[in-house]
Amino acid sequence: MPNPELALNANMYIAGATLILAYILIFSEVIHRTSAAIIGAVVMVGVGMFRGFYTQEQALVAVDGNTILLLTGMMMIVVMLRPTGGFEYLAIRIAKLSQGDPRRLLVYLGAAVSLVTMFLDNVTTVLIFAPLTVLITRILGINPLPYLFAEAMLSNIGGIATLVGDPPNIIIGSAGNIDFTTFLVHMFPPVLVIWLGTVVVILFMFRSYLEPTDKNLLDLDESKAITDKTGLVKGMIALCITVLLFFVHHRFHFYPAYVAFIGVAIAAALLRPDPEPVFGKVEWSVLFFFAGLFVIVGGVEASGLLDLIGHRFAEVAQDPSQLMITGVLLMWAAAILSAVVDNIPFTVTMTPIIVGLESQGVNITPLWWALALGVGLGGNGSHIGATANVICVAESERCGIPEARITPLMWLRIGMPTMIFGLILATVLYISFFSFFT
Amino acid sequence: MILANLAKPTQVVKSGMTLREALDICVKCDVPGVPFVDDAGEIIGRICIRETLRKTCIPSYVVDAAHVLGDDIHEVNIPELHAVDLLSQPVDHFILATVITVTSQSPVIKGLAILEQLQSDYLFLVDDGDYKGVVTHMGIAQRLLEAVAGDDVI
Repeated sequence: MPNPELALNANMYIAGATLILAYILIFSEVIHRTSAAIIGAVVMVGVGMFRGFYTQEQALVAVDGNTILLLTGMMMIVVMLRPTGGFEYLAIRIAKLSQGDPRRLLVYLGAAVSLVTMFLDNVTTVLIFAPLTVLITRILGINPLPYLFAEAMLSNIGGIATLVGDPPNIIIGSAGNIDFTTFLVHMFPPVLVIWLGTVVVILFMFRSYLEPTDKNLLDLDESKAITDKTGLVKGMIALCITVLLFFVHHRFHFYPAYVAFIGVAIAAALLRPDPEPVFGKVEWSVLFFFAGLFVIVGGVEASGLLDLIGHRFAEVAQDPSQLMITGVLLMWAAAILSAVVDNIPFTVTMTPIIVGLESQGVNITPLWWALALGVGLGGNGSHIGATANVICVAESERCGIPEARITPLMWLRIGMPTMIFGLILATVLYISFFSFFT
Repeated sequence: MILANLAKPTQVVKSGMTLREALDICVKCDVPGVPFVDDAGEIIGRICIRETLRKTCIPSYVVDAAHVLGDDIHEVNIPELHAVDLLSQPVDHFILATVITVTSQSPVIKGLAILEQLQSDYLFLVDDGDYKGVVTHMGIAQRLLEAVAGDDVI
């Protein structure tokens, strides 16, 4: 039964219009997305104060500190680890294990990237792996194109598995109060199945590129990749402690952000880095982008519009028999939108709607998993669907090898079927094991 | 010591010359780069050995992993294979727009500071649009040694 008090009013229209205009500015890339988010946030607070539905205090509260600080902490750990050469060592070691077999190389590199991105920022991971992948494939006399594709897509999938693997997951975990272990238990099994299925699809789609060659000598010295052995050991100690704490953070009632900064503190104590470069390399533009989005969506929430939308959803989702369909629709909608536009704004917008459903008696747990799967898998659908894709496309152009160049159309031809296949797998698993996801 | 005493006079490169001719000037004069002039003789760019080699012979992914390369990487890129094609190309494709110039009356310390600030190995001496030559770190070091050996007044 619709709540008669919840009807569209002027404040909702204004807040909604501000949100839409801000998102248009973000997605059109007329200006940098962070600048667009800041402009949108400032306008939202301004109109909110003028109309009396949104205050500066509410805007400050709307910024999810746990998400921002968790991202910051993990970025700082990666910044401190990166100069040690550990990532490069891993890439070369993994490549040598393949003994020059193109198919094995693709699977091994894809697995390495996926595992790393489960815990660390996938942008940095792909930034390091992509150029090395090009070099490794050139030495072996094979085309780097399928490997760049695989690394981008498999890193996107791997990142879905954990609370910290992907910015949308951090937002979802924070809003849904989902701990690291619960996230892993629910997401790792479907992600593993989707990952394996995607590897099969990639191996099939690129089969002509992956014929065995007669070259198996990879003349790269991985021991020289490590530029600071002591630093690497210390950095890994800090990272391992951080990951272990993630598994038990809920028992100690630690926010994930606090755990991340425990890791930062340990790394800082052990490595004693110069703070200027560490702070200088944190991606502040990403963090302010998030903050801007939180403020924008907070304004929409304060206007009551998200509550209204939530009520409409609740009319369907309250029925347990419809909850599964709602989850599936949410997954697919999230995926399609994430393929076309940035998945972060969609996630930030959906989370308060889903939270609002809980107060109306809806079991929102399966909706969180649907959202996480959708926004994660959707990233593979287009060359702009995820930052990892953009990096790999840029690397394919930068390497100067014409046959390795990934065009947007090529990505669509490969990525969209791969995304849809992943979504179908995810849907089948979601429906088949729905009680597990509730 | 002023820079005028340290400049190596060189030919300049013009449109229509080949890369081979430009690099030939650099090698014969033992300088890392020479100016590129327009029809009026004004310096509008430069040709640089390092940048030319980087652009034509060294893929970026090789640079990123230079410290781990072994001696047996034959497939990545072989400059010798490309040399014939490269050297016959017009020099215009390899011109860099940024040019560092000082006057010949500038003191050595000014020249060194500019080289350091811009992370360059050479700069051009130009007096009222008139090109005088190239100053390099090697030239400065050589002159210092000569000055000390000859007990010159610097």
